[in-house]
Amino acid sequence: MDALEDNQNPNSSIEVTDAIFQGLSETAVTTMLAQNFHWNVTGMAFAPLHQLFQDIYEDHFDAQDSLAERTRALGSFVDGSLASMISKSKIEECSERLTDKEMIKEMLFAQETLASTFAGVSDIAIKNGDKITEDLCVERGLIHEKFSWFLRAHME
Amino acid sequence: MGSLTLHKSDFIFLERVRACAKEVRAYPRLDMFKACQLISMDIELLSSEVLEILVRSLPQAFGRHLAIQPPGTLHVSWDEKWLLSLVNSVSISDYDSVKFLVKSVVKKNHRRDFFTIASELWKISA
Repeated sequence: MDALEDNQNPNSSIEVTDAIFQGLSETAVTTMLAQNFHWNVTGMAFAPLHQLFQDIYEDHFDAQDSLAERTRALGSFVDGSLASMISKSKIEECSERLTDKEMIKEMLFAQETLASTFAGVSDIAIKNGDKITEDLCVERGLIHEKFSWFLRAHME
Repeated sequence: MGSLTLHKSDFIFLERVRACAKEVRAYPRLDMFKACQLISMDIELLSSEVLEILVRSLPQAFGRHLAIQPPGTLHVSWDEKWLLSLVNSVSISDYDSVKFLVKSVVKKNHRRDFFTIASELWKISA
């Protein structure tokens, strides 16, 4: 078995791609949430928060591509509709007008949820012997934990 | 809740909660409303299914990520103590305590659904 086949076990890829889709859905919803907050944040900490939310949505936008392309590499179709992603995501959109502190709290919930989801996806990848997906998820988990730390630091 | 005494049975239950929380991390969202519908259906749910519904609905009920430790951890978080208090109160039909516990953390718009879920928690403590 060559290296490519070793990471594309057809018997196990559906479980893995379903889990990746969960991570992708939550990443997509959080991208919109971060862009929404980037546009609408106000208050004394406007400049750093405006920048932090931009850093988050730019990172998440790239991540969506990596996650979707990994799904395609495993042979599955990516349901790219926002409706489908919103229905699965544990992170919800926000249509209310929030204060800067409320935005930080909402974004912290989103980042912690994403870190937890990717830890779960990583476990599923390990169970299925998919090291490439595992590596991708560990990297995503680290990034979401870093953003969680940045956000928590704003609340201290 | 700070003076909660943990018995061996509490730790066994807590380990079930922790294993379940670890298992469902990459699962899709389960709305409080949907959780409520599932738990109210006229079918015999397994104890593990009731536990999964509870664990998956808690983040939305709390409006934040829950601090549930990995299995085998000796430290018990505040959220875990809250959950133990809730299940223990339901199991002895102490509904005043259940009301207090729910009102203390569950978001106002989710309390009604959460009370329905809480009322079924005797199944996981039986």
